[in-house]
Amino acid sequence: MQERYNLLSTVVKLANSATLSYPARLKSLARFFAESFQLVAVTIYILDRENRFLVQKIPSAGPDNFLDCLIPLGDGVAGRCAKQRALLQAGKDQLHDHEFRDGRESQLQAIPIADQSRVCGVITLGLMEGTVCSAAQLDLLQDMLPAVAGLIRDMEVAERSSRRVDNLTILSELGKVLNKAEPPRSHLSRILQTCHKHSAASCTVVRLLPDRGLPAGLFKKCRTKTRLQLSTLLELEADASARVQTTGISILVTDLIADEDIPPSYLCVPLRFEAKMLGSVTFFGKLGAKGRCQNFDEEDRELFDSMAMLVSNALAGSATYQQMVQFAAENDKKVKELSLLYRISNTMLSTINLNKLTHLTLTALTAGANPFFERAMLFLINEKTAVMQGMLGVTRETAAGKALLDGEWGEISLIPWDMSEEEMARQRDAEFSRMVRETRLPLDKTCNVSSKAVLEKRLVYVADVEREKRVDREFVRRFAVQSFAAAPLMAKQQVVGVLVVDNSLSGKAITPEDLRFLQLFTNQAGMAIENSMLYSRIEDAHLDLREAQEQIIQGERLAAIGEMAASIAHELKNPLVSIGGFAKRLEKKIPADLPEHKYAGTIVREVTRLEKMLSEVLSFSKKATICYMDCDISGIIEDSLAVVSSSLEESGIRVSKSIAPEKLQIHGDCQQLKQVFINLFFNAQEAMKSGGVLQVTVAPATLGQRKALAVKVSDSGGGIPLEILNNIFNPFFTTKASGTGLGLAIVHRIITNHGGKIEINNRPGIGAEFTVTLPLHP
Amino acid sequence: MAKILVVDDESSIRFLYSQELAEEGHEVLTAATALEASEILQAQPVELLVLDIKLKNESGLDLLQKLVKERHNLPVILCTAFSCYRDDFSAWLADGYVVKSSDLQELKDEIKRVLAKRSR
Repeated sequence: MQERYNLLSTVVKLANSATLSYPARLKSLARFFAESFQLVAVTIYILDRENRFLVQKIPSAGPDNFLDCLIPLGDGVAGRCAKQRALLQAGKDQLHDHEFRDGRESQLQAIPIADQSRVCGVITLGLMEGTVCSAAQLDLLQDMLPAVAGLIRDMEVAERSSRRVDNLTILSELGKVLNKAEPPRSHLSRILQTCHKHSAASCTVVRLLPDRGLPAGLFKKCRTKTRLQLSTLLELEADASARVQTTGISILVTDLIADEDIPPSYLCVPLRFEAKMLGSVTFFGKLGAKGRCQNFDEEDRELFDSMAMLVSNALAGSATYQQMVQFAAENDKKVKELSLLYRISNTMLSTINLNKLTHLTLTALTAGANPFFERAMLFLINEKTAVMQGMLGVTRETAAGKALLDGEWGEISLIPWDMSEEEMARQRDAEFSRMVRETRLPLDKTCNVSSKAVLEKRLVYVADVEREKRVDREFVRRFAVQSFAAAPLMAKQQVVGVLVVDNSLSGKAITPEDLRFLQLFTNQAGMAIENSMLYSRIEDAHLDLREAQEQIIQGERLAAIGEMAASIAHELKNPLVSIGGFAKRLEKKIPADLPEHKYAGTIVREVTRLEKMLSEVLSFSKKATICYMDCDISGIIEDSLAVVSSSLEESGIRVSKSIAPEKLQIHGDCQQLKQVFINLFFNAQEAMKSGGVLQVTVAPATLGQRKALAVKVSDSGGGIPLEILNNIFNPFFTTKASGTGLGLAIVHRIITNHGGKIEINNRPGIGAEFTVTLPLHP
Repeated sequence: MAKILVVDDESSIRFLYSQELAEEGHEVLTAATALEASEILQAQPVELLVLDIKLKNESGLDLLQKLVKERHNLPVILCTAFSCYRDDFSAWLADGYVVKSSDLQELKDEIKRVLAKRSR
């Protein structure tokens, strides 16, 4: 009993030794068992956590550390024992290759090491030929084994906690890497490296999805051995990644069996930020001791999930940062563009001189530390000769010193941007500008693509002159152009010129933003040019007006002189008539042989001469009294009726009108024509003193071959007495005791003057009908 | 021959016309204003009126219209310094139109024509 107690207490002491490592303690225990029970060899095997293999062994004879082994459960002696969880005795020939052999044993006794919950290992006892373990011995040994189980358990716990610490270290390492602000691409390679190193994977693949603000694609890191199977691994990766992206849950695959020598296990974890899937990381084949691949386990999954979370956050942050940087850059550029446009528009709208305007335009495009373009040329359009004529060229050099945006914004917005005559002359005389002036490009799309800008009124960009067939080769050669843009300058909806810009000095690419700015800029410049053109047109118009005004003044003076001459002439006429008349009488009375006869004759001749002169003056000064214009006949009839309406009413006369719906216009004197109808209406009224119907109809008609209109005016006044019918158009004839007396004679005269005719249809006892036919164009 | 009334505000013209027309065998009466003319016309029968358009303060055309209204049988010859009145249609009421001249032949011919037409 005492002995049993001593043994047990030694076992407990050994198992709990504070100074020995776990392997050393197990080794001491094995050796203690061997010595205590006179055994050839005692070996302790440790079962993996998945209860699949015995993975470590420590024999009583040997070094103080574990020896790796891989004994499947059910194989060999220890394996079978672990699987059956029961005592087992077997011959040495049944030993697995990985099991320890002392050489002296013939039989082996295996006992499972277990605590309450599980088997955690196996202990084998080597028995020499002819020896056996007694039941008492086995019993005692089994009593001691819980201490061993405790030790293994402790070891596992320690191992696990050290792994936890390792994992935390890995995460903290990764955190450090992730915290470095770097461009996404190099950041990514560092992340990959860190993950690969700490995961102990033989191959790590990071897949980033497109359109997440990150460099999309596959990023991989492999150990040399695995590279041969890379294509197979990538196939597995693609499949796993796709699944992970849909489910959002990591995948752990173990014990993969394939024809190729691929790692038996892989772990794919999603990379996601909030609800957004960014990609995945796949780890292949965990490298164990001695370079052997082993399965990843749940703990690895936990670690990798955490790593993926960190990486996702970092990548999302990096993408956001990148976006911010980009926005800031874009903002800067926009502010610059806007400032530039603001200043340019201020400058241009206040610059009226067209020449200066063109200089400022080209300079604005090329000036400053960071100009939009390196060269700018202006071509003006000559539509008659169908050419684009070079006018001015400005380069960075010739624009130097005229930067639009140097200095503080507040400052420059206040200072007007201007150019002196000397500066313009310098630009004009520069070699480049001279070359531009000597250039003429055909206005033809088929051989000069820039003319598209003119003909189609839009910006044209040629990325590579070598690939564009329709480029003027001479232009390309002369200016060593590689890529260029041509923008139309529009003024009043019309293309007046073309701005051609390029970066041929440095070969810098023209970006879409540059083109957009060019478009904005040329619109602005076009407006300014339009303004300038309008201004010069206003100036011209102003000059014309002044000339016209002077002519009017001159004309008025002449007219005043003419009026005066006319009134003088009139005053002179009467005395001259008397003088001449009496001189004539004298000439008649005085005998021809007397000299006085001759004197009188002289007076007569001279007066006749003067009279001739005067009549010329008088006929010149008086305007014609007939005034032809387009008259609307229905308007004339209405106006005429309005004049006579009260008289018609008084006499109880009803008016019946029938006027053709179409608008009938006649070329004539409205006032005279009105007089015609007033007279006819009064005439009718005169004939219908005791009431009746005045009928007026207007209809299209013809007069000979000409288009005409006919107005019929009929009354119900009983008709015209036959005895006076022949005389009614006679100007000296009237039957009336009252009235103006102008009557039908005037009607007749006016109508004749208008090339028309008047007819009477007299119906005695009923009434008279006058038909006035007037040609539309006399 | 006829009794002719010459209406003109210029006395020298009246004098010249009366001399010349008397020589032609006409009996010539003269008036300087429209009023005078009206009085004469009321007092005695006149066969022809020679009327100046531009009287001192009145228009011969107004007188013409009045005369035509009252005595529509009286022939009138307008005699004026201005040829332009030919276009004024109130002048068309006159039987003849003569531009004043120191040569009275045109006036004499017109008188003959108008009188001949009347007597027909």
